[in-house]
Amino acid sequence: MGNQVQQAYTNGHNQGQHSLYQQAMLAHHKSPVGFEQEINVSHSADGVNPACGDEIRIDAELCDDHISHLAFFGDSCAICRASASMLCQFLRNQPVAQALAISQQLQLSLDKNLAFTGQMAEHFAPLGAVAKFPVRKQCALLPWSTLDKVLKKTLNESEV
Amino acid sequence: MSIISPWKQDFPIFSTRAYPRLCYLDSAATCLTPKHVADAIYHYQCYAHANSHKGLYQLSANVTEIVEQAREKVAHFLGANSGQQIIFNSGTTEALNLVAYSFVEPLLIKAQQQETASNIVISAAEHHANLLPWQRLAQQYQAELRVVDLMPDGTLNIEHLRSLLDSETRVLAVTHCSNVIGQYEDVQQICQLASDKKIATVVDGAQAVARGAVDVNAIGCDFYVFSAHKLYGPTGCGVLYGKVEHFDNMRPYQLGGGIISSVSYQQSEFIAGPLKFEPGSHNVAAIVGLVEAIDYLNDLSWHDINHYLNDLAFYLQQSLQELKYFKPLVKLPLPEYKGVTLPTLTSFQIKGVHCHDVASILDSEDIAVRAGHHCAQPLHQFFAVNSTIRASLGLYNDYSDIDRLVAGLDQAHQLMLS
Repeated sequence: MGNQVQQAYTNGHNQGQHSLYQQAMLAHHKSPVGFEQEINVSHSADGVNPACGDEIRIDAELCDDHISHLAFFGDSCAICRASASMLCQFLRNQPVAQALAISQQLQLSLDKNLAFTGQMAEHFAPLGAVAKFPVRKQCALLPWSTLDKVLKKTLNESEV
Repeated sequence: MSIISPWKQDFPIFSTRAYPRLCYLDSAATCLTPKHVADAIYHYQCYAHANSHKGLYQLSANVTEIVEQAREKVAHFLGANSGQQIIFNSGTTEALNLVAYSFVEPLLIKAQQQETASNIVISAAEHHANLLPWQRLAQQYQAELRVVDLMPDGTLNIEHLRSLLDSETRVLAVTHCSNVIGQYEDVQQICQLASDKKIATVVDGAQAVARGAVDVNAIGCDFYVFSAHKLYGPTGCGVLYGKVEHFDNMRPYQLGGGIISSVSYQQSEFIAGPLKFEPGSHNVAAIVGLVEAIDYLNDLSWHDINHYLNDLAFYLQQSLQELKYFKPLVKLPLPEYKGVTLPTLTSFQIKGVHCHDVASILDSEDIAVRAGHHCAQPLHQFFAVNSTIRASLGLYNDYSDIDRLVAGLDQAHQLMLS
């Protein structure tokens, strides 16, 4: 057996009792923050995962370059839903520029398998487990790439 | 009662240290490879490889012979009259594109020049490979893309089909067996309906060939396509069967070496027969693998294969239907299906749990299933669901795999909903 085959096998398997679905992740999935919450939407964006058809909409209420409220809608898996829930929970009241920086840092960390540090580790630790499951990264990333669209819209507006 | 696959030992992946507990339930995506096929490819590549149809030396001549004998073998497998009706290509997707652009596009151009309307008819059950080429052609030539509804059991609605076919229909493209629903269509009746109106038919046999159910003459289709890797052969190899009279009038879909009778800088003349549609170098290793796969299955006996897979399919359906949270995309009335060819795949949902989460939890138990829309997004929209889990069976599966699937589903249900 080649080393690459062995590595591919050990990467995704026998990680214990479903470490992907640890308690913190399941808690967000079962009681998601911001799910189907009605807010005064000022900006919104849709995201889709073409590989599986999952869809999400991120709504934001922005005021004076700050995020007042965030909400999300759509049919998606537990990982996507938990990720969106954490997004809604921790980015509320953040300045838009700061939220965008956090979003891009989180996406980079997941994409490159970099360990979360500082505040990122504190808030988003459950998402770190996704790094061991490459095929599920896209599920965790979908809310964040959709949020980027929302935030970039606001930045573009402020430049006009 | 428990049955054990008599053929599992033929598949080396189950005896490696890499996947000691592999429960592979994704044969509708691709079948695993038996040692016979892998050995044949290895042997060809090491000891017999050369370019076919071009070299003026014995080794190349031998490879030409391998390819031409393969045509005859595939023709016999499909019940075709001649190897000259068999075009080799990279798979079902390329074969369908070939029919679209070599056969149907000229018909649409001609109709447009004559200021006559055109339509293309497909079924709601098609996967993307048998939808997107037709969609693009329809958009490009302002033709109508008509979609035949399905019956509650997932089969094509014949009356609706009858109402959609008319003198402006340029082609009817349907699946022999959907990769999501799994039931066999009565393609003989479907093709007869089209043929009565002089409409050409394309049958996508990707999911049907592994049950040995194909007889293109009996079906009466104009074209039939399939991929080697859904027949325990290698990827990168597929077949387009066509009625021989069509080939002469079809223009090559791709252009390149090996398909011409003469070329100048300004003009080209093409040769006749299947080679006209096989530019460049043949994927001979894959063709060798396809032939070996057909030999392997023939040696096992199609009667034994079908008998075994039917038992297994019944047990799969029965086991899943007993689960209180099981929600099938299409519910099969099981007793009525005894004695007929049962689908070797089933698509379903677990109430309250997203399909991706189910697949991930099954994966952690080394159970491989597909989750998502299976490259058939419109079909999922037809049933008003985003995604399903699909479990599909192969020769290497047995009752224990189904028991493990059920245990894994129980685990997923418990973990996500408790």
